[in-house]
Amino acid sequence: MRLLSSRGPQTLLTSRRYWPKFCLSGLVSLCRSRSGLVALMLGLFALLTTTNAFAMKKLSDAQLGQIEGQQGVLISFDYYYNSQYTGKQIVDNSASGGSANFNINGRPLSGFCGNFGTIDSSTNCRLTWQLNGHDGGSGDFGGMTNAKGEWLVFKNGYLSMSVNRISLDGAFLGGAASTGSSYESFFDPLRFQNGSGGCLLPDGARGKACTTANIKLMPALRTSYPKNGDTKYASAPTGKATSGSYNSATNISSDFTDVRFGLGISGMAVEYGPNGYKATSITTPAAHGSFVALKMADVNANQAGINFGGSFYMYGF
Amino acid sequence: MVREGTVCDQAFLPLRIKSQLIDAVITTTKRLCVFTRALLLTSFCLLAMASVVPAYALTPLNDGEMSSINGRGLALAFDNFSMRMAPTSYVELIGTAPTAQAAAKGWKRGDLRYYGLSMTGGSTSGKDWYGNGCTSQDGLGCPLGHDSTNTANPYGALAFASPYNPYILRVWKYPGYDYAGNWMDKNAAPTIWEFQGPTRSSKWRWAFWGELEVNHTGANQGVGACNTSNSACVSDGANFLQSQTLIYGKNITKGFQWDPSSDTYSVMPASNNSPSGGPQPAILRMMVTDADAPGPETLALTYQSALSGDFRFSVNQTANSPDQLFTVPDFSNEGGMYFKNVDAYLPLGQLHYQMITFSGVSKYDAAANEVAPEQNGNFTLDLTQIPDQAAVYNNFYCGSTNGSACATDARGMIKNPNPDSHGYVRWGNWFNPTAPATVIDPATAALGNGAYQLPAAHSTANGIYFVDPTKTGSAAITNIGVSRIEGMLIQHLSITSLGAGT
Repeated sequence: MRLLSSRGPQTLLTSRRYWPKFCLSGLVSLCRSRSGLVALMLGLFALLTTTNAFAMKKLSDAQLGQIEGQQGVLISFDYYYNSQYTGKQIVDNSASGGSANFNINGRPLSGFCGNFGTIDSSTNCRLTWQLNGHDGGSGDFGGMTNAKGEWLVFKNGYLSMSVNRISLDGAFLGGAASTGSSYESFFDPLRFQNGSGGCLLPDGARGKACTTANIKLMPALRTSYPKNGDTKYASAPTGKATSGSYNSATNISSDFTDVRFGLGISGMAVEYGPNGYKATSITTPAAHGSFVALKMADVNANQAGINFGGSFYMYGF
Repeated sequence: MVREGTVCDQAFLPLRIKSQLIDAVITTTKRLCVFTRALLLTSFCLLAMASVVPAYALTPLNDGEMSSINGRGLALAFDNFSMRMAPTSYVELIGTAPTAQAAAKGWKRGDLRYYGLSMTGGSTSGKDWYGNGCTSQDGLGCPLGHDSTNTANPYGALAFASPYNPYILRVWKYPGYDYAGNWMDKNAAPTIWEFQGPTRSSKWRWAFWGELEVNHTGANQGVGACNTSNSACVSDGANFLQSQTLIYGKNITKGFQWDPSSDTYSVMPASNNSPSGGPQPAILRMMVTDADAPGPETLALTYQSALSGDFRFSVNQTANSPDQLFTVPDFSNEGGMYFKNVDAYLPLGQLHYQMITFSGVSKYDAAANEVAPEQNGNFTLDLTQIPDQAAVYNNFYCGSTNGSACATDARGMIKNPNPDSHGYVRWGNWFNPTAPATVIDPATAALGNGAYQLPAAHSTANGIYFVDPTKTGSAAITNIGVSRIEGMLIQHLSITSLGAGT
């Protein structure tokens, strides 16, 4: 598969409009600061690498053995692709049929990409896919001989994502609520076996055995959104344990902030030929318009709000 | 304990990390926000670690090592899990004005919005989109599961995917026939990538409310526009229908196969699409098309849909509901169409001779006339045709692995159909899982209100029924019975977009 993205004169994912923003627990002051971008990136690496600015001491094996893995990391992360960070700026769009309390954060870069909904005024802000074997060189597919290369073109698109205070932690699977005794009947050892029936779970305290007891002892990467009432994180933010509510008097949802996600694709089409990905109505051959457009947003914002509960564990076998 | 600092001079944050590549401790200090010039060096450290770390030489894998597939993979467990989009947040498929040909046939622009997509727990108690409690209706009254005794996450599905039975991501080799009819054992078969759902999980809810808007023409059809189907809406109205959809179950079948000769059911045997036998999971597989199949080698998929549980679709709103565009409705808790005890399995593709492929070639022009294949901007999704190879189609029909023809019974129906390739949908229980050989005979069975009985006229325990929210008690219920489709084989499926938009 080939992937091309255009924002301005550059291709691929390099553009002056690309402002990833990182914020780590303890480095919040550098969040959302364009000038601090480089420092933020370096701050992330600083936690993982050596640096002259920090004292580094070797831990002895005995000291390393005392690490219990109870301290995790809280991460917040903002990503804007062909879209703009404006903070919590609210505007009144009611005169044009929109909401009176509209949060414009994550709005598309209309001056650069063209107004959302237009697909032809510019080839900026396109993403295209080409599947292997559909590059025109092979010639015959879909019942057609000498077929031209095909591009699935996402025209005039934008995306923004904000992840707020997700916890990354190491944990033992035995701490999961669904490893209690009432769920032991769910265990399916065949899922963890190789083609010869051998168990692929790593050796545990009880040996290399596909058993529920061994699974409980296995470590895993755990992610979750700590909320008030989650006893693992004593200083979780105040707020409802089941945050997120809707006010029917104002038609406004509040506190759906674990992830804010905005997406817009003004049009999609299949275009042909070696330069199909930049076809417009005035190129030769001309573009084919669009068969669908897509949007993910909120009635009162450019970004949808999503809340997560519980934990996600990832482990290998 | 993790403490978050909000400004540079907040409290000390001790942090010790052991890096596997560098035996060192990094101790951060108060002055986290002061980045000296020396820090610029750290941006290159990560690259340096990856390229030259003398203590840990990177050694290339040889082809033999890379080709050995042993089934190792990643397990993804979701514990006490919930995902809730805000009731005002949506995913929208935006339509366009129709072409002249489509408009001439009466087509209009359509826009579809899915609001509040949620995966929540399977408790019988729950909440509606307004956050209010709702009557249970055996769990189908409430789009969002909410159990206040589950203090860690009241909305959570405890074993959405337990660590004992997680989602798995791995590469694997499945035995099967290739497109030319050659049998490949599990060592000779090509490697495929697969994402498998669990085979056991808690019941959970998948819910959203939807808004279908027709003939959107201008800005007047904005937030709060009234519904033109309401006689009081005389200006600036929009044409729309709001509805609510709820699936209360799991993405796993109940795991019973049907025997056409005896009209009985038995536990599903282990197979490619039911690796452990019994309940079948949802599986997505990606691979390269078979070298003998028509066309170039390209991306191919197979997908099997597996679902069991209850389903409700409703449109009725309470008297206080706003019934306005882009505005969350207040659906009534009782009304709608209910499907109880659904069990559905639909396999799209068979290893290794039938797969889903994509192309930008269409066999139809803009007026939907059939033409020679051409590239006109439309796309085709193709579940490829079964090849005319005896070894392949006998495997497709009855799972033959030696090329032999399928045995038939006295009526000419295939004995022992291949459970991997035969889809089914059962709307309602046709048997009790403890006695699957005893199946409801619609001609002779007594009607009743039990979960495994042929449903009586007002039963809510089994089958398909409608609830009239203006009535109460059994008079509100109209049950139309149980239904089933068995043995769906898809020889070829092709879906082509017709570019009805401008």
